[in-house]
Amino acid sequence: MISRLAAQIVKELLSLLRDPRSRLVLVGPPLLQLFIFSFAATLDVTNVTIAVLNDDSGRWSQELVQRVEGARFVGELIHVATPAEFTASIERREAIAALRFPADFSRKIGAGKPAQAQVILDGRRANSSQITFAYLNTIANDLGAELRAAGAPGGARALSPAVRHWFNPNLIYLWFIVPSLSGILAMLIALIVTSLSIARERELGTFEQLLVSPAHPIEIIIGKTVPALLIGTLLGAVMITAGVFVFRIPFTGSAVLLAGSLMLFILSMVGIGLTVSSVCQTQQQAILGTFSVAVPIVLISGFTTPIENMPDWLQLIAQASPLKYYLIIVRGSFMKAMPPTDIFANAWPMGVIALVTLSSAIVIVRRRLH
Amino acid sequence: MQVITDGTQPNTANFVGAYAEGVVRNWLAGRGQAAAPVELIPRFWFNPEVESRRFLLPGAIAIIMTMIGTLLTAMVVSREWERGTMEALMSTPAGILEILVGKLLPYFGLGLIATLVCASVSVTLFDVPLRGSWFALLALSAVFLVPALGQGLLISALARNQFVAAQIALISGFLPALLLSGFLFEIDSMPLVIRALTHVVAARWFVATLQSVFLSGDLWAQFLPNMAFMLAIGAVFFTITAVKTRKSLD
Repeated sequence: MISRLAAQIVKELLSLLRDPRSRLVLVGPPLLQLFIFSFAATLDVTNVTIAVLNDDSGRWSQELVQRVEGARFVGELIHVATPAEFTASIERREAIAALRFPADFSRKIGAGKPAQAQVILDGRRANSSQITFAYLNTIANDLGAELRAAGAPGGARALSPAVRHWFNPNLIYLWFIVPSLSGILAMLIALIVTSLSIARERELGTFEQLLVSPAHPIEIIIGKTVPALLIGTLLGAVMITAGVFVFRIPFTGSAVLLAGSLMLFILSMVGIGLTVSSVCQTQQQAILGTFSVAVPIVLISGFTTPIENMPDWLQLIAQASPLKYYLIIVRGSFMKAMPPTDIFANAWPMGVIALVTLSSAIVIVRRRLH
Repeated sequence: MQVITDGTQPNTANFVGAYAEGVVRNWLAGRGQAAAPVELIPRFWFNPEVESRRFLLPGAIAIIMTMIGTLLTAMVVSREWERGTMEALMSTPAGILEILVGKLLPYFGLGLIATLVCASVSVTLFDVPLRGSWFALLALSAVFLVPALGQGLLISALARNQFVAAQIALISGFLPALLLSGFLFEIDSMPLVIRALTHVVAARWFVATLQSVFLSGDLWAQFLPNMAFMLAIGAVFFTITAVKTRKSLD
């Protein structure tokens, strides 16, 4: 039985790696993607364009505009002359935010009264525009604090809370994105490799031969699990290594426990992929099935939006996303020196998902036998 | 007073810090401290309540269309190559153009139907406004399908094997549409090289116009240049495919 199983595994590996093109697409692109997307996927706001319509000819609006122009997050500042251009700059997405100073802005400040300026933001890019507004607001508040200090020497400075970001004090986005992508890209590869495997055999007619062979459904599933597990885990491990040595992200946790969690995570993905594959007749169905599973898994994992923001029923479904647990473990292992108890607490649900999905794949394959 | 956030999730940490500062500022203002000397009054156009689903759903339509246009087309045509039936098709009196148009038209129709279904669901169930016209929405989708189908066709001509085609479609179609289209991440904030790369991602031009057609209205001044970009990308894909296919027949 062992030799039969070994033969199966070798055959699966060969069918994946024999073709030079499929060898290439298995290994090359995911690594390339890691580098491109790590730099692309930033929710930080830099290099944005801001439009300014200044009806005020006084000193203070100039002062504020100059500070905005000099700010690190601003790439370009465009001065517009008419309200029509002001509107168009936002509508055409030329600017993400547009500042408008009323004619009495400097006069009010000169008279010691509170002055207001309007900021129009592009709600189509709500996330970036909210961050842009927070940056602009900081500049305005700083100016306000200076004015207040100058007006009333020794007067109380406005109280503001000191915000400290633990584990990643400068909020470097790469530290978040690289560990997360190691999970997502490895997951996609594992899913595609497995979901196409049974469907391809079925399309070519070799699945029936496999079923009439002495191999038990459990052996068939194991034979298809091992190569995908190897490839997925290896790829994930390479990306984590790149995170440590190329991107220089601090790694404070346990490498062994992270490797174990990665294997468990890929195993649960292989289970999902094989379940999809066992119900599909063609590779086209399998790939569509994979995507209708993979997209929700990524979206509810907490990668793009925090799970806490989701409605209750969706939070409940999110508990079934293996990626959610892996992301907690991988981020924790990189930055938080996550203790083993916390890792185990997040690892066992992946084990349960793997067990359920792999056994359902076996059941479905066995049913085809009868 | 100190606020401590979890920096392992930088975006959330950023928002939480800013919200905490806002709460304190409001509290101080409520306790009769003088109003800030300089105040900025924000107004979020097109999306005053800053609802994220209002800009995420239009982006999601672009992802679905990429899957139908690129992924399905790449699979269905490479299947013909894989099974060797493409040669059989080519030996029939039907011209190569007829074969390809026949292969692509159903997916073109499917893409347009998907747009209609997704848009109806977004408007009725998720309360996303459609401030532009249905005509503009369909016109934009039809134009986007040109590069999407062209990419699928090119992939199938290069791969000729469903497994390889699926991988390439995933990596060159789906992931760029998700990560490089400006749907989730701001293009202006990306490094120069990657910003240049986004110009050849058709989904980038589609996402920007979709968000406009839903949230602000028919802005033809923005639509027309973006449509031109999509058509240009499509033309390149079709040309390369034509050259590749002709060569391989000899």
